Order: sequence, then C-alpha cells, then structure tokens
Amino acid sequence: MSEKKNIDRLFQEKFKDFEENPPGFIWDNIREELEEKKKRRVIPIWMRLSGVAAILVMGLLTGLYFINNDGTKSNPVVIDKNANHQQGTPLKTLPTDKTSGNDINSDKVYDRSDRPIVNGQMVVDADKESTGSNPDNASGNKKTATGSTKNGHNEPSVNASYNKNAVVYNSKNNKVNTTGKTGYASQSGNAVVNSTVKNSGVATTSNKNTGFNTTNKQNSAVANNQSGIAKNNAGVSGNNKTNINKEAEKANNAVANNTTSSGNNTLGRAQNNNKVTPDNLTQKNNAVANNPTALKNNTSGNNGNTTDGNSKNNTAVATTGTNKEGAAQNNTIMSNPVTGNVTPATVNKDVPLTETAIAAIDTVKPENELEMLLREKEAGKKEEKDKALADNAKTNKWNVKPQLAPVFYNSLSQGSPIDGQFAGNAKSYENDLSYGVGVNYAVSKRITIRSGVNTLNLNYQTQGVEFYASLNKSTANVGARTNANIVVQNQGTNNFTPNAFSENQLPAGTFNGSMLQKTGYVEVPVEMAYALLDKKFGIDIIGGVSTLFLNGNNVSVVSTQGYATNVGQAQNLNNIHFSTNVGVGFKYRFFKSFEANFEPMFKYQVNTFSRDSGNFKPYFIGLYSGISFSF
Amino acid sequence: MGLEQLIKDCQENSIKAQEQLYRLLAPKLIAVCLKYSRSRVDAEDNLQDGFLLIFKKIGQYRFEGSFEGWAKRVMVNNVLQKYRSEGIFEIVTENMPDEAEVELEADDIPMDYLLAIIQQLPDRYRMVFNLYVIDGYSHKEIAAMLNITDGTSKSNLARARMILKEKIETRQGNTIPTAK
Repeated sequence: MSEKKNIDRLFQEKFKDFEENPPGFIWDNIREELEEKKKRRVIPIWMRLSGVAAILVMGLLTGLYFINNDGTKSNPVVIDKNANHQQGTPLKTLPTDKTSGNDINSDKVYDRSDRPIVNGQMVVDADKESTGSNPDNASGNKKTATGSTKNGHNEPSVNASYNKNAVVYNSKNNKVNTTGKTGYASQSGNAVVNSTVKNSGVATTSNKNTGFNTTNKQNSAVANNQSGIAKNNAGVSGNNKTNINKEAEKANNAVANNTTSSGNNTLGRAQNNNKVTPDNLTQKNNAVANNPTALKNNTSGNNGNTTDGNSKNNTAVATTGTNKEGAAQNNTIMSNPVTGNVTPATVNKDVPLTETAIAAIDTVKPENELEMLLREKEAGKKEEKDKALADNAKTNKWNVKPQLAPVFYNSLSQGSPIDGQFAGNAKSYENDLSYGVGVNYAVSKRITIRSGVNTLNLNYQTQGVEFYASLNKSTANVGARTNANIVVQNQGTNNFTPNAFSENQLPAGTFNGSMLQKTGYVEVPVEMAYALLDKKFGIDIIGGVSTLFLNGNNVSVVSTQGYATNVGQAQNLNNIHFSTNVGVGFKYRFFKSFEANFEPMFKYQVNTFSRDSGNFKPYFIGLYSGISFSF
Repeated sequence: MGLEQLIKDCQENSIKAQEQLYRLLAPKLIAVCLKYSRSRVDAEDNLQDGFLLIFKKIGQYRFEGSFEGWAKRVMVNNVLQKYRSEGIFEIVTENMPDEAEVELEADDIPMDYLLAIIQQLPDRYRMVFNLYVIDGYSHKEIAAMLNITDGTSKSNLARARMILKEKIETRQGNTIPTAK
C-alpha cells in the first residue's frame, strides 16, 4: 500500500505517537543527581555537626572504657616472673632470691608483683639498715631476724657465682672507673644511639616546621583560590605565593599609606589591577579571595598587586612617592565616584594614558563591578563545587597517600609500665617520626574508608632512677642479652648489695640517671572519614581504630654521667594492641588528582600492656601530612 | 495518585514521585529528544539534563495547561539552550527556495530511518523542522526562540524538507514512481 504524501504529514504522522522506553541508566543518573542535590539541601548544618559529635563521642567512650579497664588492674611490676622462669632479658636482676628465701635485698626491690606495699615498707627498712655497708644488715631489723640468717646463708652462693663472672664484670667496671666515660664499649655504643635519638628529635622538630609551613602555604593558596575563577593548578597557586611574597616586600610602604582606605577602596583598587595587569587571573584571585576575610589583608594584598601591576605596566606608580599619590587618588576616586571622574585628569600628569583611561573606567561604576565580582565569585564557587563533587564521585574512588608525621607521645596519667615505683617519676616523652602509606576508598561523596601502614616509634624516659649492676643465681638467664644484670630502681632506694660489691672491688655505688623505654610498632589503621567540606579545600572528621604490631622493644638506662647500657626487653608489652583514633583532616586539591593533606590525629592506646601497666595510659598525637594521589 | 498530586509531590522533592513522573513522561520525552538531538547518545544526555531541569523548575508549573506540554517545552528549550551555547546556529542564511511539496511513497519507511535522517540534518535545520512541522510552532515563534529572522526560519525549513526528501527518495531508490 503506497500513497503519496506530503513530507510534513509523513513526519507528523510518524512522530505523533512516537514513544520509546529510555534506557534504565538514565533514571539512575537522574536519581543520583537528585539525591545529591537533596542531600546538600536537606541536611542542615546541625546534622552534620551532630554527626561529628557522634564520632567524637564514640571515640571518647571507647577511650574511656579502656581507660577505666586499665585503671582497675593497676598492680605494679613487670618482668620478674618471666625473668625468673626463662631467658636472660629481665629488667631487673636478683629475682631468684625469692626462690632461695626471703632475701631482703631482692624482696625489697624486685618482688613487687606479690605484695607491693609490704615490699615498699621493707625497702625503707632495709635502706636504713644497709647504710653502714654491713654485709649482714640484719641486726636492727625486726623482720630480718630470719632474713639475716638467710643472707648469711645466701652469701656464699652468690659470691660463688659472682666470682665466675667477676673478671668480665670487674674489668668493665674498672675501665669505667679509670678511664671514665669512654671506656665502656657498650656505653659508648649506647651513647651514640642516644645522640642519634636526640638528633632525630631535632629532625622531627624541623619536620614539624616544614609541615606547618606547607600548610600555611596551602592555606594562603586556598584563600587565593576560593574565587573559583579558573581551575587552579599548582602553577597558579605558586604564582600567587610568589606574588604575595614580593608584594610583602614591596608593599610595605604602600600599606602604610593605604591602611586608612576603606574596604571599598581597596576593592576598587584591586579591580584596577585586574584590568591593568597581564596576570589578571591570579591577581583577581587574590583580590576576590582576600576581600571577605579581612580588611588588613585586603589592603596589603591589593597594594601588593598595585606595585606588581604597576611595575609591569606602568612607570608612573612605581616609586613610593607616586604610590602615595596613587593611593590618595584612589581614595578620593572611590569615596566620591562622581568627583572621581575629575581626579583622573590630575592623574594624567603622572600616569600614562592607558592607566588613566582604566582608572576612569573604574571610577564610573566601582560599586557595580564590585557586585559583579561578588556574583562571579559566588557563581564560580558553585560551579566549582558541583564540578569538584562530580569529579570526585565519578572518577576517583581510590586514593593513595605516602605520609609523614611527627609523633608526640604522652600519657594521660602518671604511672609507669615498667614498675609501679616509677609511677611518680618525671617522664620525658620523646617525639618521633612516623611514616607510611595510607589508602583511602571513597564509599560515597562524603564518607571515606581509610587504611594503610605506618611505622611508629614511641619512646619515653623515666627520670630520677638509679641503677647498678648485680649478679645472682639467675645470672645465666640474663647473660644472653646483657653482660650483667642491671637493676633499676627509684632513686634513694639504695639497696644494691653492697657486700657483694665491696668484696669484689666493684664500684660501691649506683648510677643516677634515667631509664629509656623504646617501643616500635607497625600501625595499621582502619578509619572512617566524613567530609565536612569537600571542595578544593576540604575538611574531614576522622575516627577509627589502629592495630599496632610490636616490632621494637628495648629498655635501657643512661646515667647522668653518660653511661648507658641495655637492660633488656619489657615483658609486658602485648604483641598486638590497639588505639582509638580521632582527628581532623585538612586537604587541599592542588591538582586534579593530587591533594595535600594535613591531619592532626589523636590516638589513644588501649591494651598496650599484657599486665601491670602501672596505670600508664599512653597516647600519641601525630601530625600526619602527605600528598595523596587519587585514581 | 492523580497527576496533579504527583506533580505536587514532585514539587516537594519526593524522590518517589519524581521517579513516577519520570516513568510516566520519559517515553514521550525521549522521543522529543531523539528528534531534536544529533544522535541517540546526545538524546539520552539531553533527556537526563532535561529531566533534571524539569524537576528543578517544577515548582514554577502553575497547573495551567497540560503538564506534558509544559514538560515538552522545558525539554525542547533545554536542547535549544544547549546547542545555542555550543554556538552551532551560525549557519549562513541562504536564499529561500521555492516551497516544495515533496511527494513520496511513505509507508514502508521505518521509524529509525526517519529519526536518523532528522538527526543528520544540520542543527538549525533540524530545530526549525521539528519546531515547525512536528511541534507546530510558527515561524515567528521559532525565529524568536532561535534568535533568527522569520525568513531564515522559513528558508531553513525549506532546506530541511529538501534534504529529507532527497534522503527518502534515495533510500527508495529506483522504486520511486515518477508520478501518479
């Protein structure tokens, strides 16, 4: 069946009832966009804030839970049991005395795990008695009526074993005595270690500084870029920075001159520059971004622009004298837009034609332009926001971030994981550097799951301790680790075995100094971040948990004279423990897929010690910074 | 749920209502997009953007006139806006050819082919042809919408007709009867 048809009618008829089902993904896309819009519109600020609050509260609660748990079992002591049973890494020696009887000396110092208070008393008693360096300190002590006999009974065996090792021991100690600090090989070794530690400490501080510097730069860059006029890249922000710097120098005089001018004036001036200078974009950025923040910034920034721009395009305003004039003129121009038309005539004398022409243009309608700029800025912002969001969502789900963090270690409470007797001692916590790689996965536009691997060293020193070398029956166990057992105790305890030392011509004394506990971990965080602000500049709130795997464990002592030696390994550290993490993340996207990050994190450690944590509640603060690459 | 209620719910941003409205109108509106766009892919893009625009502006619908008509207008305007922003309406105005009544054998022409040849038209020809022939706008309205003159609109329409006719005739090839 064919018939002739007007082509119009053909199409009209054909298309009249033309329908077809669009592919399903279109609705999906639409819904996504709608929900995005809705979310943005519907979720009020208080909801976001309450979300933040919830994360913080959760973090705190978990923290508190563990704090309380720790608090309940604040029994002292550390290592003795293990040291007794096996290999030679006890912190303190002489524990085996327990087995051989209630030797006062050993009891006093080491045996706190059993009856800390009683022992403490005994320590005091013993101290008083042992001042006379009497091998048998029994005489005056009520409790040691038996103890004395036991001492007497023990002595031979102690001496016997002692003599075997005496050569090594004596020689070393003699060296210490005669040649002083350098003699002791292991000491010097330790000294080196210590000095490097200190150096690394210095390094961290410098790192800190750089960290802050970069963030400062970022901030300024952010401020500059908020106008959203163009997609900023590193180059642009770089220019901004240098501009500002140059301006800072050049503009000082000008600033002084212009500080009196009002916000409008400076704005107007900024517009002048925008038109004059070839670097319109960057300078415009400066101007626009600075305006809302502070007047002083405006004046300085804008003045900087003027000098910049002038030096490039004009000769007239280059010197400060003419600058003054220029500023004055600007003031008059802006405050009196009508008479402003007259003043450019005077400007003519100093300034080339183009400049005056531009000035004239500006003076005609400074306020309108101001509005326009504001509007542009807002529009730009919105667009950029949308774009940024869209980009983020569609493309970059994964994010890899090498990071570096100065770590500040501390404890919420007094206390000592080594021994309860050190609880009251002053502790100095060393700052260290943590580094690693972070991996983020964007679950949604706002929520990111984070993980990674970081190394972490946490060191602290217990001040005001004394230590001495000592030997006893169990020395063999220790030998593998240290040359001699080092006994560490609180200063003033004074209960090393003087009889033994004096008989063997050992230095009859203890070393005052500090005890350094070093722990190293591999940290694997699992965290969630919620984006409060997700533009070129973003702010995240971060909460989560880290698993810390112990990979370094060492206790050493350093005397005030500089002698240092290993004591051994702490026996009460868990191989795996956790921390609850809370923090804030600042990020700045300086290039399409690259972000600079700065994340101060508070990490409270839980379950660090298997037992006897001595009410030690460690935490650390890391200032994580890095550059992330998203893909 | 009546259409009116549905629209009201959409105005309150109910995602459910929006989905229903989409299901209701999408088949018709994609037809519009197919006619006005350069390709199917373009049409799908335009449908998506157009719907977002509809949902955004649905608050402005005052329940006067058919909603479908309103939605269509939004859709068409969205497409025009898009092509206008791309600056593709800069076609040199040509002499108006004679009003050509194209006669042809019609029934066996499949829809896809008609769509294809419409989509292949230069952008402005396609717009004018669609607006005038299929959607019934006057040359004056079209001129205003496309920011061209009446005459240009008319001439474009004629050119569009010629192109379409040639394509249809070519397709029919030798089978075209000379006359009847």
